[in-house]
Amino acid sequence: MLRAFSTAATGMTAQQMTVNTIANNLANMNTAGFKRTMIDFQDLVYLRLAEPGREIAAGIEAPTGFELGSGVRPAATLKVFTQGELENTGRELDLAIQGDGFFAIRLPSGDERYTRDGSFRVNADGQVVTSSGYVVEPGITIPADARSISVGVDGTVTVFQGSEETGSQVGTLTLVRFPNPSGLSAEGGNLLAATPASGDAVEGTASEEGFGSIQGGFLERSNVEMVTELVKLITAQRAYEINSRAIRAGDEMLQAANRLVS
Amino acid sequence: MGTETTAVLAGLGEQYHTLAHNLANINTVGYKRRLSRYAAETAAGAETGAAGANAPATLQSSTAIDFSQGRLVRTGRSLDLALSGKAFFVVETDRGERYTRNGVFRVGGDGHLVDSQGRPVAGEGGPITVPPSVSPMEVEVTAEGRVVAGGAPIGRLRLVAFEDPNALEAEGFSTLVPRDGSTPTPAAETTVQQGFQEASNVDAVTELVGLIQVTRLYEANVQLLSLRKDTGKALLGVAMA
Repeated sequence: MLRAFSTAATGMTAQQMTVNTIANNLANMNTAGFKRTMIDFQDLVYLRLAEPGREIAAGIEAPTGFELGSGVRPAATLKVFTQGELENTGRELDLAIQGDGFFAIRLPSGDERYTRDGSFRVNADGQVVTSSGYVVEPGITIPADARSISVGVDGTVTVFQGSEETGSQVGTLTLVRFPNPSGLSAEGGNLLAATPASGDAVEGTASEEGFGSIQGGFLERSNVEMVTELVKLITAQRAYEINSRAIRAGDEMLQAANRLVS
Repeated sequence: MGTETTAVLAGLGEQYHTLAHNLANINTVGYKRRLSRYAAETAAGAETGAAGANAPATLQSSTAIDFSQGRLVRTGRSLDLALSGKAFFVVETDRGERYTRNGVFRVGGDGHLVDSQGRPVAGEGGPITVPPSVSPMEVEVTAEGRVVAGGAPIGRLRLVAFEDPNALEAEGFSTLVPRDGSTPTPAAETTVQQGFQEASNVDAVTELVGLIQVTRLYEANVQLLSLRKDTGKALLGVAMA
């Protein structure tokens, strides 16, 4: 009886986690390159109180056993890497990836991080950096007298200098991909880090061998869909209430039993 | 005298537990609700035992799994697979093959198709490996369970069915195992739906009605017990007077 309280409590905790995840998804509805997270739940272990096949009356065997479940637990959070909509911004260094892949970012510490947020800019040294100022791999320097910059679908960066009619190439942005992008760990600041679960980063050229193409002048919008998330929020909230009702019902039963002693 | 009621109270407590477990799993993908068979057996016992003498002694709860189809919810995620029909996915665990209806899969670090906990999903010819050159988003799964990556077939999901699904026992963590060691047969008439999750088949209203019934029955039985206590006291009072 008291065990059942903790069973119902696992249900409330699970719904609470769902609400937290949805809140984070909704908060990032307008974050470029953001990928929504979902939680996969699994039922918890069962207590086997009676084996099937036991005799319940002379000559009658029970066809089923008796198992009491102990609730639910979150098995994993999964980032859902479906393509976000591409939004035309017209900025030369707003880059969106259409398809698979990430931009690689070099942190000042030397570590590599990955992102789909391609709102890049040029810093004082002429380097292409993220909006937080981290250098975008493989490190591209834009000459000071560049009139305009154009990034091709394969990542080649071309600049038009001074009064030149033809542009000159200053480098190529590479992309990386992972066997299991869902296994990347979100580090905040729109950055993802590789983990043993994600597998090793594979570097390659955009638009080739399964890599997505780079679209200059576009940003990838978050793949969070408001209506879907709100529906899930309502479902989770109701499920939370129902589980709390289960606890209350159990409490009523215990109160009734308590009255026996009084 | 009171043992009968006590057994009923314990049985109701267990029923309550099963209801609470179902409600906790109302949003668990692929979860199948548990039925508590306690009431059915009491009724049968009352019928057969003319004097009702052996009814309390045989009051034993049992649970069964309700394998009815859960509704399919669209997620658009390429590796969310839902089954319609009576089949199961097969996952490999360190304790052997296990069966599940939870088709939330992903590609593991080594390229194998695994479930959300990292257990490999079995294909007809061993584990299914997604080549590194293909994004998990571009994996296609046909209605028959054939897995295609970048236009090339890379395997077929092993889908199995059991002649007697009642032989399956829940282990937790979304998996079932046949307790008599029976082997499954290849599933027929099952379709795999890519981009969908099979929702839990727990229906809130049914479980809440059950919860109300159990609570009220419990209170009634406690009432009965306290009446007996009072009668006993009154009798004792008469005897001692």
